[in-house]
Amino acid sequence: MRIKKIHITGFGRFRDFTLELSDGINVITGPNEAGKSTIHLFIRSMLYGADKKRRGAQRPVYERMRPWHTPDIYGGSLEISDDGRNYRIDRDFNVSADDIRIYDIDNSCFVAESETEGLMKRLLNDLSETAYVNTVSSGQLHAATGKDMAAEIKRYAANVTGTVNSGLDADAALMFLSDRKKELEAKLDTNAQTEYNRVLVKIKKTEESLRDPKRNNRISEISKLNEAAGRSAGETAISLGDNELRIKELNSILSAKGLNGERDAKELREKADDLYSEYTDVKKAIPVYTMTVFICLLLGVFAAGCRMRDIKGIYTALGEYAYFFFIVAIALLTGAVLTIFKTVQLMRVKKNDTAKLLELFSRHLDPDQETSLSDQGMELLRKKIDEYIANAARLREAESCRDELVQRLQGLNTEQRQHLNELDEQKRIRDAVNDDLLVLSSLRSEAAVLKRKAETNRRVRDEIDSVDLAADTLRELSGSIREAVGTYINKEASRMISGFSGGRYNSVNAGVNLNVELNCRDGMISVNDVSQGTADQVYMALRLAAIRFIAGEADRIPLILDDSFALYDDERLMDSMKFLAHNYKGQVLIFTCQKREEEILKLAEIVHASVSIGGNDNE
Amino acid sequence: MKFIHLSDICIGNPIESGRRWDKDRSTELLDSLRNLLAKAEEDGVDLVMITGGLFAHIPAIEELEAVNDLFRAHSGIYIVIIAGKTDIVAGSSPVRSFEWSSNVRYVLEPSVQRIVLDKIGTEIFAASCCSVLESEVNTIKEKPPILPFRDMQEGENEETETVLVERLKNAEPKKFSEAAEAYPDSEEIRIAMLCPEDGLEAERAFTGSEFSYVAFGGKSGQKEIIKDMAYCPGTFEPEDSRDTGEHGAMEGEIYEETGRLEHIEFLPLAGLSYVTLNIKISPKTTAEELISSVRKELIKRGEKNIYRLRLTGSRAPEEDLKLDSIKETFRINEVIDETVPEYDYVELFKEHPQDMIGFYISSIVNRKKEMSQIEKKAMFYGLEALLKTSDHED
Repeated sequence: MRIKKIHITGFGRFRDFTLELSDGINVITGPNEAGKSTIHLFIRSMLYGADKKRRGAQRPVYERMRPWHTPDIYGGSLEISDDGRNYRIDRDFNVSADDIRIYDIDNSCFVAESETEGLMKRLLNDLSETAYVNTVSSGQLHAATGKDMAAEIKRYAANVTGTVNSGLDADAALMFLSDRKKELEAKLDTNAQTEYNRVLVKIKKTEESLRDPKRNNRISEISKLNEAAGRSAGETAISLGDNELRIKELNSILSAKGLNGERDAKELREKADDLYSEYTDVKKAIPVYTMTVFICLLLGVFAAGCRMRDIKGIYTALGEYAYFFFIVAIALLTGAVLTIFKTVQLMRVKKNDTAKLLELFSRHLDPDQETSLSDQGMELLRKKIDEYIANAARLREAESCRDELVQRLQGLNTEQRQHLNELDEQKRIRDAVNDDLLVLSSLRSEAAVLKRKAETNRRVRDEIDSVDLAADTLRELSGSIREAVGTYINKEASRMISGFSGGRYNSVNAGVNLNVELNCRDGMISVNDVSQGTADQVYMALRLAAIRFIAGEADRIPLILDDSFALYDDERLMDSMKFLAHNYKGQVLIFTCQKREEEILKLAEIVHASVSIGGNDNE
Repeated sequence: MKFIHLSDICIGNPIESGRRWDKDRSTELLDSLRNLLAKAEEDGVDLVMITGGLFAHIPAIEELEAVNDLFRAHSGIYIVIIAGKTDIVAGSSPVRSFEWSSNVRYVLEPSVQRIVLDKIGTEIFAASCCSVLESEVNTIKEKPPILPFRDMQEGENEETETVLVERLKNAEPKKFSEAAEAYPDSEEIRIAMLCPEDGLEAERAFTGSEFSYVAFGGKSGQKEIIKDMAYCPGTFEPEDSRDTGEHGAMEGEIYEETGRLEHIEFLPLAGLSYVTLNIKISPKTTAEELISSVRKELIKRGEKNIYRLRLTGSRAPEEDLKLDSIKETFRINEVIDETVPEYDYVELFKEHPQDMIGFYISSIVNRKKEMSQIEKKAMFYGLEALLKTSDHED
């Protein structure tokens, strides 16, 4: 691309200003403050649009260059040729900072809007604005002599090798990524996974404790057993009550009759039987005795009569047996008397027995019953007494049954107490289990929360992995690019230096450690130790190499040198001009406020065009 | 005889723990049961069957009391409950000694139990999932030493030990028919309730059986297992975010005269759904637009639902699509941001063919044909870093 004509309708101090340029080296001369830098900025703005960004303390170009007096006239055009085709770039910054129209001069028509951008890129050989600023269109070196110059070269060398284009600077991007990673790491809950595992272990342990067979819930089972025991105890108690009543009843029946137990009843029976048998015996004996008395008396009286009156001579007849007879009579009488006594006694006994028996009858037999002293009456009494005996036997039975019932009831009560104790224990276990279940439930909640946290961590880690991958890729790229760029630039610069110095220096090596070294026949020499002229050449070589690296080897982009040689003496200027003419094949615009450059070029017989600007008429 | 059949309300489900709506959710699960019982009352239902998963875990007394209070309030409806795998009946379970309201039957055994409900002329054969401790003989095999010229006898070098092993016990499906056959003269409506391990086997066991209805538990989703006979209602309340779709209970009617299932329908009664909302983002979407459109969509779909928002597509790199304001109003348990900031890589590559950006793009893209999510994100992070840092420079 060659700039053929600059036309400023309004830009900075310029209004309606035209500047024609040639191929090759153009020297644009003008006094200080003539607006060389403005033209320089104008070209850049024509190529890339007016920069709206603030750079350091300076206001943005777009604001700074708006004409004061006629702010509505702001823009201009640039006529260029590229590979034999001619275009005019028109920009009206009043429309916008990046307003652009390209006029195809050969075809006398505007380039379609859709193609404008592509065409511009092609014209600029894809050179970005930053790269343009850093390489092609560069101001003067800040230092010009001695060690400062060497430092400046080193700075530039470091700049071109490491950061030829700011787009190749990975350090800032890596810093940015590192911050990103820190942000993400702050989101990690590093304890979540451990905590989650801890809670899981707790859950497992608690669940295991729930499985302990000792903790089995037997409440229902034991309750049933307890109920059964209760029922039995109730039944037993009722039986016991009934039994008590019976005992009481039997007791009252017996004691009413003055009986105390079976033995009494049996004794009564014996007594009654004895009485009755005595009674009947006596009753049977009395008539016999009475008869005996009567007979004895009769015989006795007869015998006595015989003695005294010798009735019918019996006594006499008896003779000597009369005494015997007498004795018999006496005996009979005595017997009668004795028998009388006995009979009386028996009668007394009978009376006594009768009274006793009747007393028994009246006590034990109902009044309406036959109570006469007879076998019948006696039979009734016996039956009655047998009843007593039976009752007494029942009482005995009931009493022994009572003991049994009491024992059983005690047994059941003990059983119930045991069940109740067991139930208490079971309830305690159940409550403990329940507490564990509640704990388990809260542990599960905790686990759910922690699991989510762990999952979030996983996602954040994925993000961190992405950031790491980005950083690794950048680091890798940056390393290999630096290497590649460094290699290219060094090679290109070496070629130029070697050619220009006639082989005195074979190569230049600008390392990332800011050292620039030259390889000569005697070995490596630091740029600090070479002559000023050589250092200049190294600087120029590095610059041109960088331009080639970035903007292509064809040197298609115009090189703009704005007061770059102000501090050079004539000799250095001469060398630099020669070097430039020798090495840069494209268009070169040298802005200067001195006539020196032009003179040197003429002296060196280097083909060039010269334009002069300046004077207030241009403003 | 009208019935409602459901599974897996999962009261006490901890899945939403720690969320803003955690407490609401736990009361909602009870509310859900309350609403179901109200609906049953309204529809004149005689029997409510819960085939497992009434609780999310082995229930504590407090939880049992809470549901029992609800059941007692509907004492005219029989409620038959079996335990599933989540609320398994363990040896130590408090439910073993819990006193239920008189209308509730809670099956505690893994063997088939017959429950006769005279008032509604129905008998139910049901079995719960129980955990049973069984002693098991473990054979510890010692590897026999390899000796030449000697054949190892089988069983040599074996030791045995007896250990207690906890097993999940559940009646096999065929046991239900066997249990029913023990009562050949019964004229009651016959129902089976089970949570089978293997659906297919269960299906075979019931095909052609005498049951009027077979109530299947299980989390496999609502489905008909045997037409007009066996149904699985799926989870009544969704269990977690993967459990999407409609949830509810089966409502049916069996005619006493025929003993046939005459009517069956699915009632979508669940209190909420888990919804995954896919939101396609374009580079033109702004954060505000996204928030307002998502808000509208969430209101339309129901504010009680728990959402998972998946953002896909590509977004403008500068746009920070944060949904924080929505998260405070709606139940959003997850925002999965799969969006890739839309740097036009082709365009960027054209613009920067020979600098770090261009090199970076080609270096990431050249890794594989298909970029992984991590690589996509790495692409973004790298470009963001390069573009943001180069913007500030010059």
